Amino acid sequence: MNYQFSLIYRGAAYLTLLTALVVMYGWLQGIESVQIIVQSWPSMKFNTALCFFLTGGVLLSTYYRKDFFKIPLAGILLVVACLSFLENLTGLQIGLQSFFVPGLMSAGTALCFMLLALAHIGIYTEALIWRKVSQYLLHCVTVISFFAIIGFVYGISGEGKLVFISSMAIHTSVLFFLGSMVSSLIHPSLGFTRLLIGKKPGNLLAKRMFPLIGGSILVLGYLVINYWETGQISPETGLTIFGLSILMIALVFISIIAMELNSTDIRRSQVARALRDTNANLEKIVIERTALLAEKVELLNATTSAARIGTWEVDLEAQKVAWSDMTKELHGVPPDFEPDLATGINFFKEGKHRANIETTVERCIATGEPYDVELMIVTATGEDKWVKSIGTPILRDGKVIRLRGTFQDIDVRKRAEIKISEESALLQMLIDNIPINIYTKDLLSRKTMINKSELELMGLEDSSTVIGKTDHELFPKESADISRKEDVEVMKTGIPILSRETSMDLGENNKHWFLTSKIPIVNSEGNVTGLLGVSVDITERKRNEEKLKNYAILESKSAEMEQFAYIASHDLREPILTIKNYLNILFEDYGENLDTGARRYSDTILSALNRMETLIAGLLDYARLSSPKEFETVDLNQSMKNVLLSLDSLIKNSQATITVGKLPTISGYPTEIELLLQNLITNGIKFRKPDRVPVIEIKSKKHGRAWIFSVRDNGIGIGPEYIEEVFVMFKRLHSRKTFDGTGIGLSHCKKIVELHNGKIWVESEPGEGSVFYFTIDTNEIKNETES
Amino acid sequence: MKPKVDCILLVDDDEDCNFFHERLINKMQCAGRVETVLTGYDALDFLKTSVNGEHPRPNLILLDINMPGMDGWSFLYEYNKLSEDQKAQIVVVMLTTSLNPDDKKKAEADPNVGAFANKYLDEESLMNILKANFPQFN
Repeated sequence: MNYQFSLIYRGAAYLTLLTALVVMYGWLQGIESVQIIVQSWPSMKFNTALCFFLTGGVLLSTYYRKDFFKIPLAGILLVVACLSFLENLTGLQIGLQSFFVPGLMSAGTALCFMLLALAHIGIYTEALIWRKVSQYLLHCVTVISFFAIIGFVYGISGEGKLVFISSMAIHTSVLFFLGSMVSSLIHPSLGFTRLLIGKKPGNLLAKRMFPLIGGSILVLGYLVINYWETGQISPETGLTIFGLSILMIALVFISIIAMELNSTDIRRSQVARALRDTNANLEKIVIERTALLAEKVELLNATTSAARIGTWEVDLEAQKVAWSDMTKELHGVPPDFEPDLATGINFFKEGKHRANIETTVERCIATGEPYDVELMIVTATGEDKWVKSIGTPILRDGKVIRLRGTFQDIDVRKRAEIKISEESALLQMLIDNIPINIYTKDLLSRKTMINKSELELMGLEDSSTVIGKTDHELFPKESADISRKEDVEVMKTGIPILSRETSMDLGENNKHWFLTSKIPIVNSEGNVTGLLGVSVDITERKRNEEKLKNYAILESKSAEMEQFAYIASHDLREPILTIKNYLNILFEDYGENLDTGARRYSDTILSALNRMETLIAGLLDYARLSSPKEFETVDLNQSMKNVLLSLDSLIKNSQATITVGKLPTISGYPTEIELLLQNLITNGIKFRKPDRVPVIEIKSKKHGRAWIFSVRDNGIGIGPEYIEEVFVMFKRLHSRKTFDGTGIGLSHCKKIVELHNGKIWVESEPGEGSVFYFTIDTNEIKNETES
Repeated sequence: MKPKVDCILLVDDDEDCNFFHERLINKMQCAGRVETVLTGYDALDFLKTSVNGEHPRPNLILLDINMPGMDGWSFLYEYNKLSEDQKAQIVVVMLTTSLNPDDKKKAEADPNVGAFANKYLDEESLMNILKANFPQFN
């Protein structure tokens, strides 16, 4: 019940209660006006008022939904009304007539109370039929009370009234009319109320018609009857006027209503047309959208089919697995294949692929984490195939209940990717291990990549310390300036620099030479984005070239020198020999004529000439040693034999003892080796102590990669201050008188040893003897290299 | 009576040397006569000249290597072109003051060279040469 209705309802209920109390008070106090209201009309009886009091209670308890009060009150009301009705009809004396205050309610009043009580008892029943019945019961009360009211208005006297309502008081009828009307508002959607309350055109008509028609009948009827009774008009005229007036009012009213209805209908039909249009439009849109959707679905199907994407779903609760046709095709199984979770997993290639998918799916189920993996399966036809499997979990209450995902054939792409990555790894390996320096630079000459070889050149291990740096931060300014200039040239012109010889100072005495190529890196749009640098370290080659050049110069110098030495020796010897020989023939021819003084002078001249001759010969030998020749195999035992043979007379004359150990075979210069041995042995004999027979001992010993030879004598020895000097050319430690010599012998020895890449030194104790040592590398020894 | 050869030809631009060697040969009395020329050209002329229809054909030629103009080697080259009766039985001895062993090797490789010796010759070295080439000295 809405708020307005509830106000009306409660107002009616309290009015009923108040009226009942006033009437009862009137009866008890004997105030007649409240009993009858209009003279000659029937009065409201005391028990009627009492029943109205009960009715008020029923109305309120219905309103407040208090069945606890409503049922007993309505029950009492029903019983009293029934008994009164029976008394009225049958004339039986039940006793109600004289209850408290004498007077019996009329049969119509009793009937109305009965109907009201029944209606209120059934007003809230669950069954619709009973609610409908109670509504119609209320309408009956309304109609009965309306008739009673008409009767009063038309002034129909008691005799002329209908039987039922003959003795109903005016306020009784009004209360019934009110009570039944408001009660019917409890269910406005039922019965006649619905007609008045609804919002449809019919309801509108009814709502306006009923009060107007009802009101005009009441007013006109009253007027007609009034004029008729006073004799101003004849009953016929009154009836005619009444009928016509009613007709006129009804016609006017109906016309108004009809016009209103028509305009409403026009609006409605307009609205309906608009609605229809909208509908049609909507339908069109729906059709278009549907077509679009179908197109999209088709496109999606085509796409997934072309992209070879299948779908799958796993219901973990029902343990059911569903694969789309494409998924089945990808697995190489027929369309009627029925997969389960285990077979799905087992399609993955045994080993890391299967282990991976197992842990991935387990984790997905456990944590709800979606996955996207690229793994290999073995199809039913035994074919290895790369696939991309994407899985999304569907959760309920935080628990994964289903997995849904796609399955895509990525075999071609993946294999290409693997091939590319393998090739790139190979390339990287090549770049890292090739003994060529490789790097890339960006447009600002900052290093973007560098290989191991280049890192090692810089003496670094970690490329991260170099990446992003320019040459100016890494190399000396001078080199960096040149390099940057080259970079700019290459990147500006796009023309590579190929095998340009460059040099770079990498610190003190560490100049490096490179054959450098700089090639521009061009992106797919044809723009230069940097450069690739490739440089080969040719420092070693460069040094060798330098060496060879020096060697060649040296060689020609030495040949020149040798030539010079011969010519010098020839031309120098010639006059000496001439002097010598002519001095000799002078002696021969005039010897007897020379006195002792002249003889002594001549002897001095002669010995000086001899010495000069020896010096020239020694110089020539020394010069000859400089000229490089091929190494030959030299059996030192044989060399020693030759030496001892040539020294035979010296050895015999000095009575020297020479002991020679076993000597190796080496590769070297045989003549020079013999000269070396001869010089050392000769020295040993020459520098002997006058009181001692010379003993010379020659030994060899292997030491590491070299042979060490020793020549030991028991001669005069060398003072420690001269240990180094003995090998210096023309250095002599003794007067010519004590030991004759040129001072060339040991410098020859040193030169010969050095020609064999060896070293010579001497250990000595003055007065005891000396040991001359020299080494010759074993890698020069033929026997060693053969073994 | 000492053994001797008929003729020894001295070829040397150094007259002192020639004098010395001539004196030595005369002293040793090992040759019938000693002829002296100062150049290789003169020596060739000498060999080609016939006296009374005969070529001089010295038994021994002492040839200096180092000479201005035609040196010893050039002379040997020309000498090889001579006819057999011009050079038959001639022993050529190369003489040098040089100690260059290459010269010695080169000389020994030449079939026309009988010996190689250092200047100046003395009695011993000359005798060794003669002994090596002429049986009558043994």
